[in-house]
Amino acid sequence: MSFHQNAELLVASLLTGGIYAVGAFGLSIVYGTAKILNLAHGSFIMLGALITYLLFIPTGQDPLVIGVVITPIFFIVGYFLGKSLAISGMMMPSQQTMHSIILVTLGIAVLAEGVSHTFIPREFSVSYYLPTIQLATISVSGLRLTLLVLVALLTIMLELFLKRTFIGKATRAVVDDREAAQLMGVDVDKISMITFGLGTALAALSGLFLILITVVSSNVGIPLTLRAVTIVILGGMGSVSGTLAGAVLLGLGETFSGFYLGSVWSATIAMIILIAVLVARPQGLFRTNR
Amino acid sequence: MKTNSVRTISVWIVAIAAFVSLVLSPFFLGRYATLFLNNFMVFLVLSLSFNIIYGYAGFLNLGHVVFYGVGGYVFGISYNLGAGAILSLGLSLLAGLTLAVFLALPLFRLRSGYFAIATLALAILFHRLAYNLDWLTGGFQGLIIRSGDVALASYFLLLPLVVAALATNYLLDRSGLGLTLRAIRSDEEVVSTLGINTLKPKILSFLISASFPSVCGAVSIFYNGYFTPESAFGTTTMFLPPIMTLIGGAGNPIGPVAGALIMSFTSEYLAINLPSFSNVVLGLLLILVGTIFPGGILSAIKLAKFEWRNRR
Repeated sequence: MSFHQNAELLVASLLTGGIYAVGAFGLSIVYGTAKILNLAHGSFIMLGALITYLLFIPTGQDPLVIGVVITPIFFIVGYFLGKSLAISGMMMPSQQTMHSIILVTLGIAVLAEGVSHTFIPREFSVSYYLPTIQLATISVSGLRLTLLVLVALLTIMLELFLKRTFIGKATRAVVDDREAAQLMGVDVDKISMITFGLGTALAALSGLFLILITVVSSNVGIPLTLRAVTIVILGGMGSVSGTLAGAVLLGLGETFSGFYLGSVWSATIAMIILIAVLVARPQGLFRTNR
Repeated sequence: MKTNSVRTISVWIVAIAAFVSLVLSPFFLGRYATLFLNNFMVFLVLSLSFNIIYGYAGFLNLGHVVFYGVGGYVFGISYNLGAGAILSLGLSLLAGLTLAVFLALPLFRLRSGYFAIATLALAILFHRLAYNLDWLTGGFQGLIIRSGDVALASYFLLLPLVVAALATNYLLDRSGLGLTLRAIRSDEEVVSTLGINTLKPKILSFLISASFPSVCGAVSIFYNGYFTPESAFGTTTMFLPPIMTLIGGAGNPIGPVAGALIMSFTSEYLAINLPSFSNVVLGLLLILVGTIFPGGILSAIKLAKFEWRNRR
């Protein structure tokens, strides 16, 4: 085990973690504003990857251009998913409707998996390269560095959105105390739908990043959702930096254990981490970071 | 009073007639029909045992399939090592129960929503393990056992299992344990405030619920001759028990039976006609079940009857 290998694994964990963070943040704010644990969230990451692949293969278009095209589309899809859940009375669920939401969102995830499977019944990936960059003695692929920079930019933009813009401030208010925000005149359902749209768009973007560095198949949706749940529990709800920290922690765990045990074990490790985290902190779940 | 006793007697007559015809039917039916009935009974045991933990105690155990898969793999491994079918069945039950004992305490620390998430993660964990531990499970190629044509023998292994599962549901419907579990389902905090230990009945119902799929998975690999990670822990197997129980209606013994009946015909039809669309249908069913939740078809029928009567 050399220093180089460790350094490369560290960069890989940072990148995986960053991409997971972009994906997981949506789950966190949707739960924060609408109190809906959307188990179909990871399926939007998978769909983002799938649609990038389907658009990239025939056109050969730059994936980042594809990202600019698909992000607003996923925003609209997410917005209307949120709207339909709001209409069917599933926002702010009681203990009973919680099960109902788990089943419905799982159903959406399985449906997405089934439809995607009929399109591509195997693993798929996008081969897109950028020139390698030499940083001191470590060689980093240009693509990975670009993605790291993009993830960092997205994180900063999200932080600015939440702290500086009106809608962002309203979102944080709804996460903190939905009723109080409503009494202050915030249209809480509208905010929930916007966060649904934003979360879904971010999920699709993280899927786009993911397909550039690894292979994806139609059945990764639910495992990705569970990874996002792990990250949110580790990092706290509605906090960008917390989500990033949780995601990097998970990325480190998965990358290093995957290196020593073989990459097929990374999903297994992620599930073990989730169960351990849930059991260790059953009361502190989705604690709001104020 | 009199009509009531007449009704009870007729229910018993129907039940006994059904049982006798079930005992005799494999001798008259062909191999295909016997295999179909075997699959139906596997579904029935899965939905009835899921109903114990979900319908009565109120815990959405999405990892019910874990016990089914582990039971099946333990049976297959021990059968291949030369142990007889009966010994292997015993080992499957033992393995399922041991696993349940180890899982019970950590899982019941969780509130019901997070219980569902944790058990979902468990199911996916075992799905991955079945692929990764290929020296033990045969990996993606699956575990093959040479049991020969045991459709008939399996039929008579499954029949008592179904009777036991039905009897457990009926007993829970009437016993003190069932009442406690229902009280826990509606409000656990109130129950524990009344000085009732809620952990004991929860763990007991979890163990009872887990024992059935362990044996059921063992019989399933026995007559199918193989188990793959997909057939043991895959998406379809994972979501079948909740779908069946909830389509029929949870919390009573009839709902899961209706659900198993519907789903065994649906899955047989899909397997023959639309194999690649099975996940699409499964997803749509989950959405449907979540929407008509929690009563299922039975309560929908009851509601329709009630409205029809009121209209007259």
